Amino acid sequence: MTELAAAESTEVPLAGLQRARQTVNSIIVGKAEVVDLAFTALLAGGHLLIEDLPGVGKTTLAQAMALAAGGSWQRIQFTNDMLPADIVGVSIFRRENEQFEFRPGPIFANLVLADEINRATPRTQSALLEAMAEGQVTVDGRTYPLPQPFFVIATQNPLDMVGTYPLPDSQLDRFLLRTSIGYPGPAEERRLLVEPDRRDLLAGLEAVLDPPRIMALRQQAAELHVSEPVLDYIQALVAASRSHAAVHSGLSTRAALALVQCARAHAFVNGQDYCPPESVKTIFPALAAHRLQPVPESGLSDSEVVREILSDVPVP
Amino acid sequence: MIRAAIGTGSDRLRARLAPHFDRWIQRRGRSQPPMRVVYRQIYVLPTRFGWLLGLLMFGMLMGSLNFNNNLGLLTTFIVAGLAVNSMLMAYRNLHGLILARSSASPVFAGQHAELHVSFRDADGRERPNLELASGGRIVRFSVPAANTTDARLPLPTQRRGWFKPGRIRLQTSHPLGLFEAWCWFWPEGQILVWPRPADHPPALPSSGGQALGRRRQRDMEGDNFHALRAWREGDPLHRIAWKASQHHQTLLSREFREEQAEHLLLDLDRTPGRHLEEKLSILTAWVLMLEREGQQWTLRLGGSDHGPASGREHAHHCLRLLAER
Amino acid sequence: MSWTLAALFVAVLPHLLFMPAPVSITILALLGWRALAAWKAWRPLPGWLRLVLTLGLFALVLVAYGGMWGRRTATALLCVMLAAKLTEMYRIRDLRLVASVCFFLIATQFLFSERMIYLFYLAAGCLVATMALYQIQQIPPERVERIDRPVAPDPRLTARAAGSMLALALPVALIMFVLFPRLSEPLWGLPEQAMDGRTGLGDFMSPGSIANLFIDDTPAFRATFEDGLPDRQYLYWRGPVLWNFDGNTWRPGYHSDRPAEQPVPITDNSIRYRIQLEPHERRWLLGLDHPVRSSLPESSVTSDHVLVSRHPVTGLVQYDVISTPDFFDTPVLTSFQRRLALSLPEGRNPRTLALGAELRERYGDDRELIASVLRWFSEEAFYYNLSTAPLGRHGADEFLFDLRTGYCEYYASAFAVLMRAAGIPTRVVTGYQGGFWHESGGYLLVRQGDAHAWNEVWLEGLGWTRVDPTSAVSPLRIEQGARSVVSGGRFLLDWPWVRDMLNRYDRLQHIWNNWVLGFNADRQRNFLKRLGLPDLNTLSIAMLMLAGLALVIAPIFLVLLKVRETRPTSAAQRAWMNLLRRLRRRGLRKLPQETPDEFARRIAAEQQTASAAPALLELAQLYSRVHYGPPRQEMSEEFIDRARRFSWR
Repeated sequence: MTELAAAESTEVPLAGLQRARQTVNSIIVGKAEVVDLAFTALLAGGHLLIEDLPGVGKTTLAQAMALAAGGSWQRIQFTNDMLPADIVGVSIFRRENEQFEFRPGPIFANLVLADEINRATPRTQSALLEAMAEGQVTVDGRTYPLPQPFFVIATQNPLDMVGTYPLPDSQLDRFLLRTSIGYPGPAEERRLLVEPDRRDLLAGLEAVLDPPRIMALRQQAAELHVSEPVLDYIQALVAASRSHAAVHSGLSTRAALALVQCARAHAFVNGQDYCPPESVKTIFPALAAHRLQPVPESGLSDSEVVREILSDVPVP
Repeated sequence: MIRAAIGTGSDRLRARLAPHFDRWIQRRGRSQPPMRVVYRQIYVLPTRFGWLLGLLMFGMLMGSLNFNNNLGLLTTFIVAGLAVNSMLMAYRNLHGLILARSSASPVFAGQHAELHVSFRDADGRERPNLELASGGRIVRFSVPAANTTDARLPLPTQRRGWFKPGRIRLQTSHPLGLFEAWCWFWPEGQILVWPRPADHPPALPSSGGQALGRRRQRDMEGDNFHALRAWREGDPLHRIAWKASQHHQTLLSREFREEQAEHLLLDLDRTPGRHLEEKLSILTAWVLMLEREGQQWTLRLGGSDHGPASGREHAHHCLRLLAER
Repeated sequence: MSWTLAALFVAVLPHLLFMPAPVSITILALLGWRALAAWKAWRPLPGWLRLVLTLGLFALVLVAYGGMWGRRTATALLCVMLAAKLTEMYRIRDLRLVASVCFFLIATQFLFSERMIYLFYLAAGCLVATMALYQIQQIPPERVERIDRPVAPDPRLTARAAGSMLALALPVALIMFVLFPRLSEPLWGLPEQAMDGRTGLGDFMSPGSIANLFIDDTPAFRATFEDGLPDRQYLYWRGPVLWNFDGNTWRPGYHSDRPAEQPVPITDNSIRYRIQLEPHERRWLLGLDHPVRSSLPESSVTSDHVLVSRHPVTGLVQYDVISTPDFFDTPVLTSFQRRLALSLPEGRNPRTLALGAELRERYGDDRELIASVLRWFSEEAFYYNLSTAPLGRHGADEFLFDLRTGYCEYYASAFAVLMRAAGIPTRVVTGYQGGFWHESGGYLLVRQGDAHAWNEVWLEGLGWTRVDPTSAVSPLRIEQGARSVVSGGRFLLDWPWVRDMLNRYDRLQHIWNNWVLGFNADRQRNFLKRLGLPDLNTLSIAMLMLAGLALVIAPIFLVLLKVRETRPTSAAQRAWMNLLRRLRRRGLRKLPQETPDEFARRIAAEQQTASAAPALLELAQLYSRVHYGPPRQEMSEEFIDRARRFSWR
């Protein structure tokens, strides 16, 4: 009810956002939370890491996002023989004019799908991560800015450990959010079996948004009202992560700021004109889990730690 | 002489009674995190200072009663009231406190393992001046109202392996130090104690009879230079072999090849050392050294190989195997 | 550290006022030194110096008190030793020791005075000492052994914590105060000397001894009468009766302690009243003329009809007295008594002796003789005022013929000499006369300044008869009290409104004395009787006290252990918390980690039959908008209204 009211009352970009959301949801059936997270990351100006098994729809999601969001998009399939230049681009020698010319790599796009990022060597990974962090690329001493918006959806395969290079812990926080998709529910899976191939559906998609609109939406999301109790709640969550015995080091202040930003974006994506604590709770596991390193001997996984923190901290 | 005999006798008695005592405490409620401290687990007794004040109060009482000095009596009873409150407040400082979790990172034998205990208050009151005590070591901390905090208690370790910390005392004599309320708990799980790294380990085993040896000297580029080939579109600028290109009058790129995995084999049976502990110490030192240098290694223990791999996780895995050996 | 020093300072302050100057100055100096040392982080004094200092202080006290052992000396020694302890106060246990002994010091002060004003001292002393203990507890354990720098938490926080602790201690203290089994007999002897060097009515009379009391406004005793205030002429409060005169000073007779030979009967005119006597360190109890008996145990009436207690009055006592004013005292004077009541020092006051002999010749009747002397006093230029001129060897002569101005003791003394010279057996009675009638309090306040001296002459057929020469000189003195007669301010700030305030304050003091200080084994028994628990033995009273304590502590405990909710910051939040409380009573409990929306959804899922569940969900969502959204007045009001009307079905 509130969502509808909010959608009617605001200007075009917001309506476009809701249409884009519906579009992606029509492709990725029954995964509304993941789609929300993807839009949240997009609107909060961060990047998304999806860790999941092959075949659950990581790539489909990214493609759907890219198509719905409009703008340019690129897919990079990472392999172990990939070089940094394969991502960021190279300066090539033009014989005609005997000059070097920069040829941008696939990273120069509004939306980049970095598939199976852990197959590349750390060197190659860090080229991508650096570009993500800085929003620009430096090749042979020259700096090239990346297009705006710049949004990376990276996927990582957790089971396939042989010959892979897991992202270093210290670099994981380049991704604003990390999530997994998971198998579809029984009803949805049944539907998928009957309906046409998702790839065909994707082909039929048309862009709902475009880069300027996304930038406007980002601006609007960043201005969303966050009340004192919610800020208190965010601070308490961050403090609880620091005092959790199974954690080496808790969330940083930067992570706290990111949490505020994401909670805003999430509420905005859901069409709300303020940031409710539910948004914080929804976003928190995706934001915090990959930034916390549990003590191995505690026997807890990072998502279990996050769950404990959420159940420990009272909502003000 | 006699006193010494009594001393050892009472120690022996204490040692005999300790397990019974522990069991008695454990019967009185959950005594391992996560736990909520409740009345059956809280013990309250006057501190030494409390007894002293009691004596003083008795003197005041007798004097005032004798002279029917009502203001003196009132003073005495106010002190008595303070003492009663002190007892209640010490109790309340513990009651309802939640020990959410305890853990400790692995340490090397001889170091202090830092037991890390998280506390939480769910009753909306601040709990100041709490203390964790074990073996004469005391750390003080406070839990803010409706919030969490953690305390770190250093525990001495001696032997490698899994170390099960004993009873820990959570105590407080807030607010006036007249009464001490305390409860006991056992930390969750065990603490991994790695072998003590040897101070001066012998040189790493060199590439001898085995096919495995130290890495070759790196080239100036920092990657493994393999060959030159003709320049192709897409090769980055820094790969162009300028000198060679000039020489051949055509652009040449340097080609690199993925480095062959070359690594060390650390074999317990081949490690120098007089006895097992010394060998484990040396292996520990080596593992640490290799991890620091970012190299790959294989650990061979009793016929099973671990690795080759590099990095912190592999190091931890190896250290754990060495500790458990 | 800082509060420990402050606690000691407060506790020691009233003690200092009554100590010889060198001792109190030394204590203050040590306190100041220690505060400075803490502030500047000076090193502790070496051990030998501390020992020397301690011994020196010990000696100082002994010398200052002239080697006399008593309560004063003992407390002074305690104060000094505590001050000496300051020089080695560097560890937590030293701090604690000093802070806790402060309580003891406070209690010892009440051995000297229990006036109501000391209630402030008690409150301040306990508060600061508690603050000190609280502050000491904040010192982290790794600093147990050495506290170089003071740890200073916010003093307001400390004061609040200590204040609330004291407030919670009060109920316990009051229950114990009322129900702690009291001793009806002291376990060991009462102390000899306790007064703060304050002068009260003495057991002798010399020129100036009563006039000096005039400026003393401290209450001597208070009286409440069963049948209202008797006539002023009856308000002679009988103190020591003096027989022996050495030319300067009047002293009691050798036989004064003997019990009365003839009991005083109770008649229709008998006055019944209750006295609340401030401690005066002497044995006499004051009563109106011809006390029959008093309710105080171990009290008796002497042959001079003075009420006396067996022990000196060292604490406030209250007793009921019956007095019979029209009593025929001593119908027959024994020759011993007659000789005593006529004896005069030899070779003194020749003119008075001559006058006495002359009067004797002129008047055959004793009564006429006395009347003529009183007439002489009132008609001649005799003045009644505070001048306390020293009198020489012939004191009565000087006064009667030259000086003719003085306070009551001059008149009483000279009159007695003159009467004895005329052959009429005479004695001097000291005590108090009149008093201030406290209308609202319904009691008579008698101050030290109301001290008086008068005479009794023995007349054939009348026995001992009261004659007050002062009344002849200045009848107003008897009617309205000494203050109305003596003109001019007696001391600084002696204005009427100050006096009025002092009178009002005395009302409080009276209640205080009555209900707090006068509470003893007797009154405890009476109190219990009124509760319907007569004749309890000590053990039962103790059990009763424990029961009372349990009754008081249980609610304190429950309040202490109560789970505290966060304080609402807005009206909407208050309404929401109210709603949650109502739901909790229905067994619907919001978990702390739940948001309002999650809570309502869970309830809706759990209680599918409840018709109010959708309304609750709507309400929770509204609250979420109000609480977490941008402020909107009308929405907040709507929520509050709906939350109020909401009921769970």
